[in-house]
Amino acid sequence: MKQYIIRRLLQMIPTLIGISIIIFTISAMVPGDYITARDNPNMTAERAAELRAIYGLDKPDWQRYFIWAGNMITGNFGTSLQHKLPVMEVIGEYVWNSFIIAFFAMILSWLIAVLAGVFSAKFQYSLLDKLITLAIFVCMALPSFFIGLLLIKWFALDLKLLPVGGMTTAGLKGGSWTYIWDVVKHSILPISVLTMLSIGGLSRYFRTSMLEVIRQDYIRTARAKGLKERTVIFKHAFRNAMIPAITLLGFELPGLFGGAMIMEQIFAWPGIGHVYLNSINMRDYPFMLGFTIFLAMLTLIGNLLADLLYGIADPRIRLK
Amino acid sequence: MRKKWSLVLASALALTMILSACGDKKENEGSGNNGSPNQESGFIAATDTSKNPKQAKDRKDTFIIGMTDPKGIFNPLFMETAYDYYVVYSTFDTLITYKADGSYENSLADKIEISDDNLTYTYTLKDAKFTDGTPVTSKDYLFTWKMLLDPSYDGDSDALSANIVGGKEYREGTASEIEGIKIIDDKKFSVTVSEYTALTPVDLGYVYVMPEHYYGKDYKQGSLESVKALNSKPLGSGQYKLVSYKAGQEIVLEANEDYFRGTPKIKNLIYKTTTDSTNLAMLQSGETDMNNISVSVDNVEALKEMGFMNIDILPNNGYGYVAFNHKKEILSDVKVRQALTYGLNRAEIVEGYYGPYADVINIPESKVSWAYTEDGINTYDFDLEKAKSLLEEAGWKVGADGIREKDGKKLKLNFSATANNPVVDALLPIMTLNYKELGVDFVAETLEFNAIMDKKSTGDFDMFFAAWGLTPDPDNTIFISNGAQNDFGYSNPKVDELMAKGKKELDLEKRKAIYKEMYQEINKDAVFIYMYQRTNMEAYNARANGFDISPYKDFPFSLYQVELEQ
Repeated sequence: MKQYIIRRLLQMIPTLIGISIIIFTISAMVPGDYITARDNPNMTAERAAELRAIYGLDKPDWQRYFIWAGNMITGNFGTSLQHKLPVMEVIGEYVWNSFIIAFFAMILSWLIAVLAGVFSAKFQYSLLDKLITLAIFVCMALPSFFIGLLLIKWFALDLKLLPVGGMTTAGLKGGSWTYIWDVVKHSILPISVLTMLSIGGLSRYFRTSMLEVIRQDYIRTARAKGLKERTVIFKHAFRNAMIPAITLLGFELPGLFGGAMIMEQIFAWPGIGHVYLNSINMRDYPFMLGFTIFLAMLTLIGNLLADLLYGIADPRIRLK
Repeated sequence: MRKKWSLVLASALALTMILSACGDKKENEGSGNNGSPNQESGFIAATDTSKNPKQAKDRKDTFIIGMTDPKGIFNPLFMETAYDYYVVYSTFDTLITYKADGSYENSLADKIEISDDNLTYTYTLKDAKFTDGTPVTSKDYLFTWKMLLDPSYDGDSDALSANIVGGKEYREGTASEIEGIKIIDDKKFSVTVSEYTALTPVDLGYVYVMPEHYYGKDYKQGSLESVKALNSKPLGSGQYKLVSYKAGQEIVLEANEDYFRGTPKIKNLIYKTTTDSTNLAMLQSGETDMNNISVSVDNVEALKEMGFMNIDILPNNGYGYVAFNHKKEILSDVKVRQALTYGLNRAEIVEGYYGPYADVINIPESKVSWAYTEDGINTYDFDLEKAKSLLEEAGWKVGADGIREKDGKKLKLNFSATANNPVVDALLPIMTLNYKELGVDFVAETLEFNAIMDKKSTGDFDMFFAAWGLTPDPDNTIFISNGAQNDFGYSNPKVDELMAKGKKELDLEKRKAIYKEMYQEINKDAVFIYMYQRTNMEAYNARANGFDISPYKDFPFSLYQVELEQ
């Protein structure tokens, strides 16, 4: 097992090198840099050249790649041009805000999606199945900004139950419980919308995989033994149906830290999504590349975790 | 330091793309009534303050200003976005500052004497203190310039353009002191420049004084790292001092009781992050007291309906334009450029997107600037027949397929504009239709902002649409031959001469006459298609009184005199 993990970790190195080459090449091919993106009408050509030299943008692309990749190996992700702070510090400032809503939205959406999937599989083609499918498709089809703005109007402006946006009430005073309660109130709407968006896809997965399992021989056997229907579904069928879900869970890992760009705009949530988007528009390469590599590493780790969990959950595919 | 207006625009453009909404952005403009007559602008007072939400009314000593989140660079040297500027305006002071009409008055400076040769400026400082209690001294001013001229300085100010004697040597590292800045005593110092221009008083005076004992502790020539490390912990002599900063969320400030203009009347000031989709709702619920709202008929209506908001709609310091590439043979002909201006229904485009909240312009200058003129300026009113006859005169005859030709070449023009920009959405259909009627083979594409800037700098374009910020002073490098920002290939010796003269002239009335002549030339040459000057809107809760806002004086400058109704 230990050997397997080490081997997998070592295999990540060439993958990461490949990823870094690809994203660097793309960023180098895209027109514009931090100086042009700022479009300062008073900047003289000499000053622009001076700045490019300070930022190292005057060097040829291949040289810039090796400087960047070399720093990366020593753990130095560079300094964000926009924030004038080390990239990791900027990520640290925003990423946990994104994590909070992504984490709770994930738990909620998995819970609801699992239940919805199981029940609509169990009662396939029944009225319940159709209602669940309808509700889920409606959630999937409505644009997030529309649901978001509608919820703000209902709950924040008309009913005055929840705040419009942000993560805390400006100038809040009080202890940590007041603070936590304040964050909870602010996060209800964004978490609800994020949950609504991701239930759709997930519950279709679970429904399909559940349907497949229910038709298996061992389920028939279990039923023939005279087991209770609840035991058959939740113990025998459910466990087996969940195995493919482990792969999905692995893919959720980068999503937890990636930020939700549209959602953050609608609810003025201080997450990392809009910082990332901004860095692309402003050609803040150190941040953009650094954060992309960070997400790529999380994806690879998520993959590895999924494979390991797979082995634990299903002895048939245990790896040596 | 006068770069602020343009910055704002650059970030506005970036935002436009991000939000695919109109460039919100700051740059408000005064309750002044100097806006033009056909533009809806000015002050709209709240109608029913009893509608004020409880949440806002309960905040007796706190004022919350909503804005897009800043980058956390509350340092006058390195700030780049308008929102970082707001915080800096509230926490630092300059020697001179803008008045509402765009002229200057002394701020930290008590007295300014200028030598007869216009090369030496002697400043006497007022008795002001930084918020940690230490006095503002001549040494702090000198130290600020050392940082601006440091070889590793990568901020927006082009410190060398001030021409301070010894500045270049300090930048190059061949001198460890700036020869031109001489400290006479704690409160008095002189600055000598090698060459003066009309902008010298601003270059030298519009400098945010930063305390040496705080920022200079670990500063060594050639490394500003220790200064940058303090970016999110500003210390200045300003109206407010920073209490806390939460990235992406809020900046909490507290009144500076020793402020040299008097203690600010509002004790707590909070800048809170809002976005385009939430800023109106937050004003309505009382979560914020003030926000810059992008101007549109709907938004103005929504604010008026709330009843408790004061609204200030003021001309923006900037303009939208369609650039021509003068290096292309077709467009090097002034008649073709004029024809393309006459042949474009600019009024319909501007009306289509901005409604009454923008004006068609004919010179690249703000209507509220002292340099603005309408004297001898052609208004290029939409006239297809005139446009057609100008093209005929230039030798472009209609061919068999309806496209004009000259010497066997088709009149084909490529046009680029930013994608996801509502202004472009209003512009493109009308432009395509108008130019088709003129007999132009007009090929339009929408691109990302940086891609257009790239085309601009490489000269790979015929025409593109963009917007620009305006500095309070009309001096620029856009229209002079080989100017830093002249990527268009425009060259007119007369304009060059007038620009050089205007930069050197110190008398305002004489400068007015010079720039008038310059604008007449630029207007006649149709360097660009000058499109519009839009407006900005600052909305604030009517329980706050005392703002003094103008296109040249942002709202933070008058914060110290604002009072909350109890």
